[in-house]
Amino acid sequence: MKMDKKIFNELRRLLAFIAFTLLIMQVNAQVSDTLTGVVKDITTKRIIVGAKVYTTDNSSVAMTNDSGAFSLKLSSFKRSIVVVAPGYNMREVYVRKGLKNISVNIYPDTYSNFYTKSLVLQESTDKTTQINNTNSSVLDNRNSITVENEIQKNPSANIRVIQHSGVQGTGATMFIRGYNSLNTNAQPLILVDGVVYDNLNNWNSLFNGNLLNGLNCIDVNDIESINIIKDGVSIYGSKAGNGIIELRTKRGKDMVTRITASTMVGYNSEPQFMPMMNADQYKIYLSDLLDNNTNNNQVTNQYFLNDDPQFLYYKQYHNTTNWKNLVYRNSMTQSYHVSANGGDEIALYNLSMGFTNAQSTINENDMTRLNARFNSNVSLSDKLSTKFDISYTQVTRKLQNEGIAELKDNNVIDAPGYLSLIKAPFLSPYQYSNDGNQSAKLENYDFIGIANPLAIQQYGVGNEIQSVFNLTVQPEYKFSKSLTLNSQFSYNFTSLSENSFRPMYGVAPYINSYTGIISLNQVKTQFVNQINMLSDTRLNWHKTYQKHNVNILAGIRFIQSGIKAEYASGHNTGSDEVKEMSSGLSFKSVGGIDDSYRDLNYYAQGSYSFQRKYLIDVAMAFESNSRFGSQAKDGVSLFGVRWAAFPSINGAWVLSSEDFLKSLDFINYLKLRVGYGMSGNDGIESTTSRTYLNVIKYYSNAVGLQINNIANPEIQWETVTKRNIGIDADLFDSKLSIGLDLYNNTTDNLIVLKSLKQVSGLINYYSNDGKLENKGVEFNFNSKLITLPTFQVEAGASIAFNSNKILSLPDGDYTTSVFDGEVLTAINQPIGQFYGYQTRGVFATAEAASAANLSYRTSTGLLIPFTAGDVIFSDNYPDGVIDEKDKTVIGNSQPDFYGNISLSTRYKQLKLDVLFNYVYGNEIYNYLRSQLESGSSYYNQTSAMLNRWRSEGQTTEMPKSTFSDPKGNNRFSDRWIEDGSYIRLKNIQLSYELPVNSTYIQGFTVWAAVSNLITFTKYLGVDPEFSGSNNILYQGIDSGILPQSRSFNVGLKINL
Amino acid sequence: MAVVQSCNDEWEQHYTAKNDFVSDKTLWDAISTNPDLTIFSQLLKENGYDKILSGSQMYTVWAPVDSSLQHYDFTNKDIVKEFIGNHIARLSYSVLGLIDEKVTMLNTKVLRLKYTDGKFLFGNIEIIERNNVVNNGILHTLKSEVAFYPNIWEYLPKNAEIDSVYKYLYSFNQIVFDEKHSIPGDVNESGQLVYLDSVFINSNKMFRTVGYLNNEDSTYSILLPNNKAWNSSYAKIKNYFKFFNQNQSVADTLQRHYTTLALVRDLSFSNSMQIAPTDSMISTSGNIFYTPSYLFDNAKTLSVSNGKIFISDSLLFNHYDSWNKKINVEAEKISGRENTLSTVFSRSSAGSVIVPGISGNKYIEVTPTSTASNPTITFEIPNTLSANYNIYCVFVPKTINNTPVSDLKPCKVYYQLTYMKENGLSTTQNFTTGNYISEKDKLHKMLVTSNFKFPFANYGQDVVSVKLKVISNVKQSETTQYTRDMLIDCIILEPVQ
Repeated sequence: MKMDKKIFNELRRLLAFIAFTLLIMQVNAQVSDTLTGVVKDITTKRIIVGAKVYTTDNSSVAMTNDSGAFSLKLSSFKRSIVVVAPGYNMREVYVRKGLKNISVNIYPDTYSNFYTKSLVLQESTDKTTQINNTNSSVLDNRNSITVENEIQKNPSANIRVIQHSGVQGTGATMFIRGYNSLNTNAQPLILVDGVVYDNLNNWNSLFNGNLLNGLNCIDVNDIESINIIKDGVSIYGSKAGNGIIELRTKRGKDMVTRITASTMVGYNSEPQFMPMMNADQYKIYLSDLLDNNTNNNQVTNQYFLNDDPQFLYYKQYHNTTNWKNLVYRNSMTQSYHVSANGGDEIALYNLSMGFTNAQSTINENDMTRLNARFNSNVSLSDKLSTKFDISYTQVTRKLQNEGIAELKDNNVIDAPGYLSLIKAPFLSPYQYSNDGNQSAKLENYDFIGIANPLAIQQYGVGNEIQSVFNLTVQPEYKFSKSLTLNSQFSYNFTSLSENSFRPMYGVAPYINSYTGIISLNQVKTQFVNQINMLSDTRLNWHKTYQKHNVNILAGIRFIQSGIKAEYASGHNTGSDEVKEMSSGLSFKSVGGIDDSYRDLNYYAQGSYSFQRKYLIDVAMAFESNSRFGSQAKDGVSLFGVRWAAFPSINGAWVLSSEDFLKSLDFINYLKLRVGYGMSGNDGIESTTSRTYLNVIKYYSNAVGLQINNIANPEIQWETVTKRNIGIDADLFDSKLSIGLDLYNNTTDNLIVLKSLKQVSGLINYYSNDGKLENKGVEFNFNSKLITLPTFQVEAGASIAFNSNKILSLPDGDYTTSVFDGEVLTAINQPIGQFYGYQTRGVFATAEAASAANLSYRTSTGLLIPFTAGDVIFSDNYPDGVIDEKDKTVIGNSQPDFYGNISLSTRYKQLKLDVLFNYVYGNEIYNYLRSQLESGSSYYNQTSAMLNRWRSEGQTTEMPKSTFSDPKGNNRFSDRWIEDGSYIRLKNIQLSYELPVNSTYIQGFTVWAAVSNLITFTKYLGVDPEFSGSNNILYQGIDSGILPQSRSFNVGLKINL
Repeated sequence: MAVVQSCNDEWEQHYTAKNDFVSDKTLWDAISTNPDLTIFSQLLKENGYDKILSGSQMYTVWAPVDSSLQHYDFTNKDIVKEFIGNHIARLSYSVLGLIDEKVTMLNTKVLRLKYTDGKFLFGNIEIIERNNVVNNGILHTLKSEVAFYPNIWEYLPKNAEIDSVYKYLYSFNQIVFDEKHSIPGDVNESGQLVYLDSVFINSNKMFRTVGYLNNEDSTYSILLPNNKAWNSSYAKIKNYFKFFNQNQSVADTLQRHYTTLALVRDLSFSNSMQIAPTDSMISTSGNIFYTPSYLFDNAKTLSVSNGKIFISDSLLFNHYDSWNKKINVEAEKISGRENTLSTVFSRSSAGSVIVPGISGNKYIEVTPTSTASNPTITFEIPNTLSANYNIYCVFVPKTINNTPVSDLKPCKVYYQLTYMKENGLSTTQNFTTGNYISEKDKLHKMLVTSNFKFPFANYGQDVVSVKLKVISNVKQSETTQYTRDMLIDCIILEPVQ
């Protein structure tokens, strides 16, 4: 077995390493010396009283006295001390041999902390992997209403977070170190308090352009910390191939009761769209289209061509309506949160409640969240304690379709936002009465069948209710100081209901060309229930023998997850007053799933450190998952199922503790990390490994069974192998910290669709084949530039380069059709390349066109030459014919690099935070613009179409307008591919801590923030940051979903 | 950082209209400021086109330059309208390449825009300056004006030589309500539909007979009799339409009406209907003329915008091709049929191969109600003219019923013809003496009488004055020889050539 060999090799290497380290151990007699020192605030240079100073193994602890001094016993091989003080950042200092007296400067906790931010979770730097942490001191007083916004703001995280859209609570697509999967889930694993948070990840919303987002059920105010874990994640087995985002919620801290109330009010400005043609310009554009396909009678019968003011419909066709203003709006956000934190010797608790209402910048679209959470730590005896957490969140959203639906033929255009762009500006949203006065009644669909967006918003329905209930019990038994048994049991219930109704008034009936149905109105509804149960029991043994520090962890994790969903839709309720699903509807379609899987994972991790200089972590997970096939090819058979093995080994060397760096005083801390590990991706449908039948309806009458899948018993996880080397450094008395990582991750056994022979009656099946690679560099630095008593400045930046390449594919290169375009998947090339035609402007004259001698071939084989006003396509395969052969790579949705820039200044109690994020080198397929500048339909166009080719000799970039585009000027080409690079002032925040001195009020903070204040970009769409789908092939395709806009927020927080 | 680029530059560059080629002026601006187009622009302004060409509808204007219009007479308002409409079209037409397009002008005329011999021509006039693209259209300038070609309908009043036919056709002009293009509103208190916008159009009911001669989309070839031809034809045809009425003026009116109608019904030929015009042509009223060149040979030919006009000195139609057609009365037609001492069954011969050629595939079977009686049946003959006819009765043999050969017997009949005499009174004439015995085994077109002249026309009248009675003439003793069952297909009146 290939896998067995791999594991064996890993184990052999591990043993060799341990033997080597044991060999070089010096068996010195323990010599202890005494260290004295003083702890000071770096900004005020004042001494700090009551700071805790201790050795990293807690063998010696001291507190600073009234003069800030301490005295501590150090052994010869444990020379790292840690200093902590309330209101200050933790700092770790290595004390070199011979040093008897030191002065430690520590930073107020308003600065970012190198030691917690990138190195540790608990108070120890004994980590061989890098973790990017954001904690509550940063998360409080923020204007985000959902967590992914805060993840995006972590300046050193190097995680690529792309907000889905401007719809409130719709979430973000997140990539840790590139695209680690081709066809399955490429999103990181989310852990909330150690529990896998699999919240309807694989389920679709009824609403086009809307993505279900579990994270919107978590109140940012409840978050204690966010950790981004990129490697060393083997113990999460086949779930962690895309990295981990670990969230921890706030818990009771101490027995002092603290009540915190915070509120936030915000204003989101209407998005600024590309300018569209006005009524007169659009009318002329329409005439231009009529030119080629209408006879004179049709023209004279068009009401909009009649400029006679006496004409009955004159007023109806002579308006200057700004549809965008009627559909979009300036919207409000409000959020309230109260929490109580405290307890006694027996129990500590944190109780919180929150209410959030956030309107989107499009009408009839908002999100209301009500959340409550109770976290407690109960100490039952000296040895037995338990955590008991319970939470409930309900999110109610009003939604509507956003953007352009991909399958246009089977769908009517009913996204109000898109309609407001394409709708004729000379029409009125309201009806005119017979005597020529505008009435309050909305107008029906128009003369070219385009719906009235206001009617959809008024008569349509779009509701979503999502609720999450979680119960977690986590008892812990301490057998001894070094041995602990901890068991976590969690029950998570998620439900989602959605219903949508497209009215008949205001929307033209449409004929589905595929099914032949005539739909007047449509009802859709779905109910989804998901129950996730997790049990995670671990035994932890920890021991320190002189220079040796050993930590061994062994555990069993069991996950049972089930999703039940029902979906129904029907047409033609008969009246817009009837908006519900019923048996009487026409063309009903129903469906549903009842899908569950189980996952059992035995894992173990051993950590060893020598003198806290040399660290090694070895981990291994054995996992069996009901999604895997019974003969998974890389698995090991045991107990009748296949087991996957995920080993990892990570090592670190703390160079700063070495004597040979003694002379380099400016180095406070320097660690070199090396890691190699495997994890997986189990994003397979649980039915893939089974042959099953599906119920079908035959000609709407008979019900039958049809084979729907042919089992692939060899189906298995994708194997992600991560190789990493990194440096963490803290320099110049902690004024400069640097992180640098190089990685090379490969994914084997890609889950791919393979073709079946026709005789099977099925088209394709899933299989494991192919390989891809992500290589990259991540760099971040943070500098505390000014550390004066009243004025402090800190700046940081991060940059990440990722290069992605497909190494092998089962059936060779192929393209996937997405939104009238094509995405290439090819060996030795990155994922997500746009594949289409290149253009070189527009033929200005008939002579130029005939000189170029280019033609296109009609479906009947006829060659039709391109003429003046047509686009000049590059004849890359020089045969004079523009066809498939001329297609080439015209862009890539993946950026060359991306990152953040942050600046934080503080003057007395006033604090200003500025955060930029940027992306460079990615291309966007502006599908929205391809529709709004096609010059081939009756849709209103952008004002760029005023420059369309009109006559001989005109030099322009925009081709002539022709109805239905017979020449294909509008085809998928680099005309629609744009530079998606941008740098954005993501957030600017000013906060002021009122100097309160009251027994009742402990703290009072007011703040004001602006998001997305300014964006520098060449992109011609509204917002270069969007992601219409979590599918990697759909990245960088702008289908016109609601863009993010500027928002202004003010808030205050009171601590009692 | 390289990505930093003011967002405004790219955005502005892309979305701002550039006026370097397409000027932001309107057509009216372009025409009124052009020093070579002062006469044309003056003309446009006087007729209110300055506003139309400044609006937000797209037009293409072919403007003739001043030098060609110096001596043009613009006093006639109708001609001015024709003139302006002949130089402006809706939508935009660029002039480039090897263009060859048909352009529908505002006056509905279709003009040709084409490239020949290095020149761009519009209605055969050279375009001097082309493709001046402005905000709401395109302006071209022409060397001279484009001649206005009338259509057939417009031509009619322009030639005094043909004013008889012109006056006749134009006398049917009327303004009618156009329901299709009117916009219906609510129903009023008395239950009538009230139209929000009522559209009235010029119409002429003769269009249905002679074709839509005012339509630019269809083309016709039309024979127009000059006044001399009109009169001579009238004199010839009116004899066929002699009517009797107590009131002589009513009789005269009927005669005039049907005579003129007969005169014009076959004048017009829609070009799209003619499959092989040298072999035969079908007129708009549906009559077919074989080898029709004789009709057009001596006519004066001229082209108009929707076809060709043939002005003729004499109309050479044969009466039996045009107005005096064969009359065929199907026996199975119930109205106007009467029978005595008999029962009538309507039978179908569809699919019968035994007796082919039964008109309409239907016939009747008249059987006596008793063994003692001879049955009779009477047919009304409508639309007879005051002309000579050969009259036939068509018998069907019993073989059609698969009757055994041994049982076959012919019928023996006689006839009574009822018609109006010169004095205006109805008279009945018996035809008993002929050999009125039918063929027993095949279809028999039995001649009743030949060259029979009706004194008066019975054309288009509600009361039919001409009737033919068929009477079985089989004596009791002859029943072994003849049958009293009569199987009749139809009655035919053929005009005598």
